[in-house]
Amino acid sequence: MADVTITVNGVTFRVPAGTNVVDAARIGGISIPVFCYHPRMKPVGMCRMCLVQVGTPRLDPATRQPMLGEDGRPVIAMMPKLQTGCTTPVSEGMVINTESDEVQFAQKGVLEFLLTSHPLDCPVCDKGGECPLQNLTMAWGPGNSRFDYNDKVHFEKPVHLGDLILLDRERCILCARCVRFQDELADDPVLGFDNRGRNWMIISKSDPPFDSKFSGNTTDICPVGALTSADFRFKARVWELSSKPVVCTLCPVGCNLSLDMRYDQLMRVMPRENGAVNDIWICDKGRFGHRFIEHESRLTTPLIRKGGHLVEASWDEALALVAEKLAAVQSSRGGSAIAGLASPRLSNEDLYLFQKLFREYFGSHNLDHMPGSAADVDYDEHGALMGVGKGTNLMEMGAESLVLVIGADPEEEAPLYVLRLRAMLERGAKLVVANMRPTKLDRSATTRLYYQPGSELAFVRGLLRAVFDRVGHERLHLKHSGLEQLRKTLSDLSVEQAAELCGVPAETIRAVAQALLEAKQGLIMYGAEARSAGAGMSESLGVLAALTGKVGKPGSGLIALLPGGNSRGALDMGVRPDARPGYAVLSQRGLGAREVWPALREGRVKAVWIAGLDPAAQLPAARAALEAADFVVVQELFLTATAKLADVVLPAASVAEREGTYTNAERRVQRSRQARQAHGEARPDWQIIQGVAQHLSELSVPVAVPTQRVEESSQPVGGKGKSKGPGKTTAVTVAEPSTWDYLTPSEIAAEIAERVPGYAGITYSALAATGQGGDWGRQTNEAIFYDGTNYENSEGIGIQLPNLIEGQKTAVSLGLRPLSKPAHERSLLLVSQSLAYDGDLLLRGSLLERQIPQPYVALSQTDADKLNIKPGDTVRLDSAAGELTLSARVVDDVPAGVALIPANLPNFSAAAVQTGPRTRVNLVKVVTG
Amino acid sequence: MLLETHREAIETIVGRYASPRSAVLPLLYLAQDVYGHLSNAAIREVADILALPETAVFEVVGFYTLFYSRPVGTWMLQVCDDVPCCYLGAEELITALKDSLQIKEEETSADGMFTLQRVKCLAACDRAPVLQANLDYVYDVTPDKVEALLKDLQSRAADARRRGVSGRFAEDFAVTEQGAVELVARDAPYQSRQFEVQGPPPPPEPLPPPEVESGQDRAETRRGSPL
Repeated sequence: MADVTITVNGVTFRVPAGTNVVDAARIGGISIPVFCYHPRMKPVGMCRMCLVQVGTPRLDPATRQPMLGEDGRPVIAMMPKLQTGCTTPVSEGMVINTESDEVQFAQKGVLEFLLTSHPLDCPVCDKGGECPLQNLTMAWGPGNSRFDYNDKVHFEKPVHLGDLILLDRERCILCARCVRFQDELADDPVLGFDNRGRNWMIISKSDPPFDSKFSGNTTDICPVGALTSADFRFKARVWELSSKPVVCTLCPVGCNLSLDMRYDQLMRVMPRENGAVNDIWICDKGRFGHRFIEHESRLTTPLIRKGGHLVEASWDEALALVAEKLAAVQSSRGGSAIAGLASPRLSNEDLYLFQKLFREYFGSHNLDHMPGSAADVDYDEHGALMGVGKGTNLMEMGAESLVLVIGADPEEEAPLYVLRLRAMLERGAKLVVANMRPTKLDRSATTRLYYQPGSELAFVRGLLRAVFDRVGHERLHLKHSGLEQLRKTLSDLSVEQAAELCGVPAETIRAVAQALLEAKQGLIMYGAEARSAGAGMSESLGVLAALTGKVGKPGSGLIALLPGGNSRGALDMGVRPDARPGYAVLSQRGLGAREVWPALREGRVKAVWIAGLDPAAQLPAARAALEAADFVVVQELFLTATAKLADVVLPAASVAEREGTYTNAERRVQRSRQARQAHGEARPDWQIIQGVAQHLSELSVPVAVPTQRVEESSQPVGGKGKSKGPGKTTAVTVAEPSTWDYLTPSEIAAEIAERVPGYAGITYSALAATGQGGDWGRQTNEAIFYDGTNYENSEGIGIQLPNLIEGQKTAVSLGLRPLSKPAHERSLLLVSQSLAYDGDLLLRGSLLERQIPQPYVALSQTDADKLNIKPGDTVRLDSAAGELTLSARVVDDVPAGVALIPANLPNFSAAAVQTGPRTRVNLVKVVTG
Repeated sequence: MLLETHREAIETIVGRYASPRSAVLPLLYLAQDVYGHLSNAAIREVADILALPETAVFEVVGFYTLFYSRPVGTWMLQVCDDVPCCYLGAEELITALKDSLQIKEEETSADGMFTLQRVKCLAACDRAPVLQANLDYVYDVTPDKVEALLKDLQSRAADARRRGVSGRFAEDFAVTEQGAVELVARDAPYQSRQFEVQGPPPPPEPLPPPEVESGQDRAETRRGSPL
């Protein structure tokens, strides 16, 4: 929009048209105090703190031109009363006075009124020290009050708005920032005002109260200490805290956090601004779910099994034992008798070294980052291959972009995406949500549609056909193969046939396809439910992105919501049996986790090394296999069910006690710093791996030169000391004997940058660049107005990786696997639902533990009626694999034909019935007595 | 439950508006009439019918004083104690009501028949003192007519229960000099209160001059402040 010229306090400057007076003045370096206004929300003018004098040039009624005075300057018509700056947009020639006596009188008056009901308990208030009310009172306040101190109103306090957030009514200045955040940004309209006048108060009447995954943000934006969190309340004074920049590893968003530490203790978790990732927000899981760091049950010393018991040991002893045992297995049975599982919460450095040790020392490809359950989904490649283009920033996307969310529930899988997608909508983007069942994001969607359970692939094929019918392959600018096959596959299924299979009308499918074609930028986000349909789903979505030209450019491509904080990193680093780092496919694959368990029982695999995964808790097969194994080493934070079965347990450092990089769903690599000293003797995972490697070399175990060669079909792995060789498609063997003497993780990162395709240039020094992370904290005196919310990100905003297709070195295979016919031998489709608050070990010790549900199976009303099941009834599920007894819920949101169980609950496993990511089950009511 | 017992009425109300949100006030009145007051469960029921966030409906109930979130009597008596009514005996009227019903303001009589509330101007100053009984206006209620009024209301308790406490079907009544409560027809010609003409009252005794209030200089309150 064009700029307009304004004059504030006699200083004339230009600001973008449409800016409100508060922001416009701040552009010119002039502060207007605010309470209710917040730049991320619509102005409401409730607090009256931003009152200013405003005048506009007087126009000649005849010519509509500004009238000129005797001095030749426009005559300014001042508005008769003060105006609220936040609700007044600037106009050409506007004159604003923010310091006149009249304005100062008003500001003092407003503050005097606000303070009439304020308890002035700053010495015990959590907000004290970072409180906008304190700041503004010092700068603009009257200094004295005409109101009698004894007339202050008193209320019962605190009021529990929910489990996590408490309200102090006396401190509340009724600015409605929290209410508006919940309504406008989070779309959880669970806060409101009760009563009126002096009795006005914030209430939450949802069930459960304050039912939102973003509630913690209201304590940040509260300009007083009215909203406090149960997690931090009365714990520390803010000036005692030092903020340590880390990255959240609880979900694939990778929010930037500040761990606010007092000496070595975690006091609270705050968001750290990053426009490209989390803006200035974080979800409650990130904010309250980091208590695991200091949990009393953390492991502090290595443990070795002696005489059937795990006893404390020194690191030397433990590492030597691990090296000795693994070397023994290798020399007697070969490296392929050793398997390694590493958690997707580990850093890239850990994961890289883990696979390097296995591949270089043991010559074993028996690697995985999943627990080996029947429900494990296929490795997601298209999320990287066709991932969002380098330079994608959701914060800058709006009009002319479209997001297709399919088979995903972002609120549970990657909560912060709800805020980011809603902010895009606010700026004019379109949001199409396609799922088998309603999710919360539906309320925001411009188009929402539900396909028949299990028919998502048919729906996407319908979309593909509709796109192909309209534009053919004219938008396909990628190197590709299999176009003819695609043409044939698509010609087999008309849009109408697809519509019939998936239950979405053909015209809707065509409209969505058309909207995707028309959008300049298109994102396709898919989650757990889409991935549970098999690799065919991500493959089809990749082809959809390719055919619509929504790939290989900023703001377009796929976003895969994978479990854990660094599943993408694990895939990039090749912690999988069938590919090296950078998706370099192996001709001869090793064993994945699912195959490791039977192999252990049958003696084909003798030893297993598990880093940060707890398969024994969920999988009876894993438990039996670990009991049968010759040697089990577990590196973990806690003594998990798996660790209890180990021969050696190695205590690992948590994310707060080490440095590392993590790759998020948008393939942004971000660096996390160390926030506290080692917990006991716990060491970072990479050091543990290196320690074992060093002991192995002391045993002079010959390095196994990998015999497998990188296949030509995928991107080559660059040699050391060279940048990626463009166009190099010959096979390379990575076999460089390593000395295993990394001193810091940055040295590993440097090696990753050299060796892993796509990671070129991702060094620690490059990651420290702050670039244009956002605009928070960069305006005049902003800390005064938005104190206690969020601070400038001075520690680096991360670097987005190019997707593997951008270099045009890899040909995209357009061939699609055939649609499988759904089997209907059992009546219901058992689907696992990912929940934000589940049995994740990392939630240990947090207030969120109370919100983890008890196991249940959710049914539709239709099926419940058919099977004569009432809520709370005990039901038995049976599948081809076995039986399971559960309590039933009857839920509106579940479509007929689906039985929904929460995934990954503590002390509960559905492994007994699961035959795959999805299972056909029958369900009967259990009659007791 | 409301949907089962009053489906037709609800559908009529909701059908009147373009957006279901607009029907929140009429539905709350309906719920209040059916249940006697708005319990949390009743408010949630309305939210559920209109598919509104529960908090939003609680906000509406909290804002308006004519929604009662606690049980009230069959008749809700709301007596104006604003200036013109006061001059014509509102305080005496309230005292008479309290004495007769043996309750204080905001309380309900033991038999559950009456709840007493003070309210501000009801915009019928010409017929003061005035009160509302379930939003039925009752004009000219001088303190001496309290017994007659209460008796009349008591006799119409069944009618009150049928019409509900919200006053959706409220009418106008006047108390005659003889103490009879008469319906004032909607189209009846305007009639102001009939006064008996009396001689001029004796001049009032002059009041002592008010003490000078000087805000911050009140020494004893300054002592009470920690500042």
